[in-house]
Amino acid sequence: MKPDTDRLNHLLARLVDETIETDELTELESLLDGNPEAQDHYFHYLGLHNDLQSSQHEAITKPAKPTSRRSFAQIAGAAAIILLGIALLAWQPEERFATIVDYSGPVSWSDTEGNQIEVGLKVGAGTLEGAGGESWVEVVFADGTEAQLSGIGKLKLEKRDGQKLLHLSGGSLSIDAQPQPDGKPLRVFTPSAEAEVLGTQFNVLANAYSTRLNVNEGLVKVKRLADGSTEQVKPDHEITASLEAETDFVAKRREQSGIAWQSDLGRGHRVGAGTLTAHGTVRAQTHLWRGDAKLGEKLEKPILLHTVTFHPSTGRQPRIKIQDGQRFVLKGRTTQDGQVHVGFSANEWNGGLYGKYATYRKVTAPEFEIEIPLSGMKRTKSVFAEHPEGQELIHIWIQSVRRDIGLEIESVELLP
Amino acid sequence: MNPTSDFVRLWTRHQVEVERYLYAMIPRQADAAEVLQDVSVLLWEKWDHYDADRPFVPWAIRFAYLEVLKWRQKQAREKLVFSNALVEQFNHRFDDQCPLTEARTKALETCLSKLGDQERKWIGMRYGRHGAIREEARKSGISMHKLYYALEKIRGSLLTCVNEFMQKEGWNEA
Repeated sequence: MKPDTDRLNHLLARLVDETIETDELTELESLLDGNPEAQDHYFHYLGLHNDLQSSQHEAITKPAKPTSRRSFAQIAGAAAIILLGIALLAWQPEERFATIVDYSGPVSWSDTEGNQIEVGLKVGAGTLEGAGGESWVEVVFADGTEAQLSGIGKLKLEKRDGQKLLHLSGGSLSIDAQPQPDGKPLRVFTPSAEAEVLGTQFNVLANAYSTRLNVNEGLVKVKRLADGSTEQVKPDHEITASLEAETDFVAKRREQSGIAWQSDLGRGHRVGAGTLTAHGTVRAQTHLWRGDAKLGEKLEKPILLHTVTFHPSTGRQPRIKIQDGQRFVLKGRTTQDGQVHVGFSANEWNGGLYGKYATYRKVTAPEFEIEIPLSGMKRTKSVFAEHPEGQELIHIWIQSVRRDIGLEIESVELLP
Repeated sequence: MNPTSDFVRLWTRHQVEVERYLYAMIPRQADAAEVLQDVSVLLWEKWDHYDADRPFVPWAIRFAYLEVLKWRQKQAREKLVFSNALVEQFNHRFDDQCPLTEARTKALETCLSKLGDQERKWIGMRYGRHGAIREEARKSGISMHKLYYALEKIRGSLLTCVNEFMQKEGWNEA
């Protein structure tokens, strides 16, 4: 039987707008019951509503992408493919040359032997992946060289002819390298740069477009992939290698520190995890985490995380020093009431990871503004020091755990 | 291939189809979104049993239906929207819809481009930002009721356009 389309459309509009009354629902049910044509119409109408919902920032409201950003993405994609190709061609089974000494938060390890992450696991070639803002993992090589990956990111470990090769495709990496054998420096590859070290302490922060490297001790040679130019970075200096060859590629003394910070999404401030929307917010990015495979757990349970991260220490902004009395002010919106997990990581002012600190806060849809004193955020692991005062703020995360509450962040401020 | 990345790849690609199915079965956004989370976890738990030679979506929807039933059992009658009998009919009927989902989504893109500026603006407001329609009503002096009525008409015309496009392209079920 052909349905009365106008009436059906009216009732379906009331249904999707969630304004439908009980008697209208009864009428709708009677129109749909036993009528395949009306049911098809129902599916099409709700499907259309769903499509409009999900295409809201693309087909309808999304402005054209700036050309420069598009070329960034293309170059980044090409660089990633080349790196992947090189990695695949060069791969061969290796001995176990490193040990996972500690980790916290959603971290996974994958290799050809199917090993699951656990403290004390001796590993060869394989990939570490941090899936949440609070992810952190530390690996120690046989010679004592330490590497710490934190936040959302991926680090592939490899050793070829006695040379350590680390491929960082995103995230924050801190390395404390022991003196390396002659002619076999430790090499770190990112989508935009290559770093070569003989023995030093340095930090690398990478995303698809640029790499920021700062050196605390020793000397690091950095090659920018965009044009092959090379720079040496001395202690207390830093350099940024982006995929645009026209940008500065000069090692500079680290800028003076600041004690306040503000996200600047309107001016294209890059975020870690999350997608910039047309209306100037960052929508949370969803990740699947398989869970800890610690002893005593029978099954790995996957957990969905919906995360936004910010990296106050990227770009050319001064480093942020954590001080007593500072607080975060977060503004955002959600489509449902729920809980957010908010945290930050801190590096030692002149070294590697110092600690991670976090707390939960309830948020109410549709909009929220919350203020969190840093002193009220607890360390995520007992090995971290209780108070991070005097250390460097590295990244901030805001995420909903398991439940997607439609999290979008409008702004984050660190106030003194 | 790594089973995690296989799962994430297929889930990312087809989540929208499962979401569409769930929304048809549970036509309240927040409730459907909650069940979607449970479905994703259940699918991962069942991932070892997935036969890669068979299509992913029907397999996923089978489990999604179980989650819908589980969810319905836990809810009070007033939250259920439709009767068990109708939901069962929907479940059988939805099989025919699956292959057309992508084509309809593409058709909608074409139809959206044919809308006038005012219509595009209102659709953008309705689906782009929470509270934008209320603001528009306040600014323009047009009542909320009229704006929602206009949106009903725009959705109706988009649906007609998509159906015509599907017929023109030779899709039988449209």
